Amino acid sequence: MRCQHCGEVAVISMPQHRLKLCEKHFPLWVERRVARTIESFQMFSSDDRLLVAVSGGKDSLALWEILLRLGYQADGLYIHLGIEHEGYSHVSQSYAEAFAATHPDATLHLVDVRARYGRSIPELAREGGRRACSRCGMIKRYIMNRTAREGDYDAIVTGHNLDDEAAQLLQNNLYWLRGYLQRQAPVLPQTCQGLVRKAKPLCLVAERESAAYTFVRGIEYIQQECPHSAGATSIFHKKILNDMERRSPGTKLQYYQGFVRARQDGFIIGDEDTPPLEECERCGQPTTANALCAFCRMLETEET
Amino acid sequence: MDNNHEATLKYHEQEWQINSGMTIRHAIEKVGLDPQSVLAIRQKKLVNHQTIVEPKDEILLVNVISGG
Ligand code: SF4
Ligand SMILES: [Zn+2]
Ligand SMILES: [Zn+2]
Repeated sequence: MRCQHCGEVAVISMPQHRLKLCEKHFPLWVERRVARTIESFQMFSSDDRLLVAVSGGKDSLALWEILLRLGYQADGLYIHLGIEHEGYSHVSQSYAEAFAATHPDATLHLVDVRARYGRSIPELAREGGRRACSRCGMIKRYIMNRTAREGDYDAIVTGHNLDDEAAQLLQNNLYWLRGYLQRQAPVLPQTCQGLVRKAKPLCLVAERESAAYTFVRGIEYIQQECPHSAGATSIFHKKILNDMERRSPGTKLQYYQGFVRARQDGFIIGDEDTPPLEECERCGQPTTANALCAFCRMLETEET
Repeated sequence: MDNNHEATLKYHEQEWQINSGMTIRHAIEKVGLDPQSVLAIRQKKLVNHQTIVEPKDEILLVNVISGG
């Protein structure tokens, strides 16, 4: 199997793009694809300061590398969730730090949830009688927005890849979660003061392409999964989509891109009366609730 | 059987002895995994799934599907 650009041995075949590439041309192809995604969705401009949400996993580190290679000013944010099973949070932090150490022009911000707010994610979830993941999502979004505002960043970028987005879309479709369908987008602009723009530059890069990219670029990442993700519905949905992809290459891409176009053309109409955002009385972050935001309410109820 | 023609396939804690001469893709399917969801690494290098397994090869399969 040969590279279609140079005839060297190909390291990857991407039937959905009818493309086979070698270890030199494949990473360049990924970088160009991401550059085009950023431009076509007008995610951000070359003057913008970006904050990359880094988990220590393949996608976020691949994204950070790509943005730096494309010449963007991209700093990282690692949120230490306090997940102790097999040292998960410590180990993933060490991968984020190792990456930052080899990229001296980028800064890595570290936020330790327990050190800053008194309890880790699993502890907060236990106190509230919730699953870790349901708390984790809200807390991460809060910390990302807050860190981006405090550091004067123009956009938060996350490493969601095509498989993540297609699986999320399947979930949103199956249950017709209209609010989620409306908010699922490659880029969410700043809709109000205090809510930082969010973008997913890897949304057209398949998960195996992102993993292959990290290998070819020699980026070390945590291969261990968060222990709370065991049995996650998203993995089940990804497998279903991969079965479809095997029968018919390009299915995931068509499914997601078709949705994005439909959304842009106004086929997904949201809730007309979304409440306006106010400032949280305690922390000043935007919230739809009056008085306290969901994060401050969680800290307050779980303090008592 | 002559072990010299065998190769090793590794995935997490699992390990299989496979015959050389087939493609990596075929080997992955033979042990019951989905080729879409793994990358194959040989001598620390990414190799495509059409690569023929050579005798004594050690091929590491890396899962690419993450959840959460
Ligand atoms: S699997 Fe759940 S707990 Fe773990 S990082 Fe993801 S959302 Fe957080
Ligand atoms: Zn090439
Ligand atoms: Zn608040």
